[in-house]
Amino acid sequence: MDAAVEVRIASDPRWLRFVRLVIEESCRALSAGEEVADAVVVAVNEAVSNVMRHAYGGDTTQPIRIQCRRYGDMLEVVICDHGKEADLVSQPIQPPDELRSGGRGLFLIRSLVDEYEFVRADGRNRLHLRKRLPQPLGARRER
Amino acid sequence: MRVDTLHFGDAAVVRLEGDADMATSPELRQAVLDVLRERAAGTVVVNLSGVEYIDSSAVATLIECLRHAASGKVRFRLAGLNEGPRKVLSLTRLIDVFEVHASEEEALRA
Repeated sequence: MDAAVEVRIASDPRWLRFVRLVIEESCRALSAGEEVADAVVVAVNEAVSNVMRHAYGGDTTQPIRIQCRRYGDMLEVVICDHGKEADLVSQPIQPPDELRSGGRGLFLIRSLVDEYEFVRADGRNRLHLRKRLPQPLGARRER
Repeated sequence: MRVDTLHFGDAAVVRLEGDADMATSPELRQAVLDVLRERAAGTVVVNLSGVEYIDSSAVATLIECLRHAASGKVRFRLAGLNEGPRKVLSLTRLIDVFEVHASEEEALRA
């Protein structure tokens, strides 16, 4: 695992802006590039909002841990909470052109990351979001 | 988030400044719905030129406002979309659902 950053916040939406700034700066420090940074910031904001809204049901006092790191040729963000099980992976995806009021966060997450993985273990939710990093100019793909 | 509401005859403009996310969407919702409830016709413009970030809760709020306007005879327009908000609306395939104008002035003139 390469360089990592970890922050812990309370499940209060007022911390979302701080989370976005941390992710943006982490992407910069990990040389992720602007396109990856923009996508990951939006995806993480939606995922953390989901934890606040669904896993903790609006309780603004519960802990959320967010880690950001380079993971091979991916940038990985891991979001952990101990709220009720809120499995993104098995949620039906909403047709985005419907004029319904809610439910677009999941669509944004799925659109913007290359991989996501939800783990429920020991009473905790752990969501991994991964986005492939751009190859440096002239780099040879090893895949 | 800073919210300013201005009235021009049968039109109103809600000018927003700051990020529109789950923390601030309730303010946005309140301000725009207040303006919509005050009128049975005319134009309501939401000026987003001071907004660099919107999330899905703000998108949901704008959709709710659009539906509210469409249920009456109010024209609902967005103006001054920056790159970030435009991208979120495009990704959610809603950019064409809204009447989007380059500027507040253009939205009022249209």
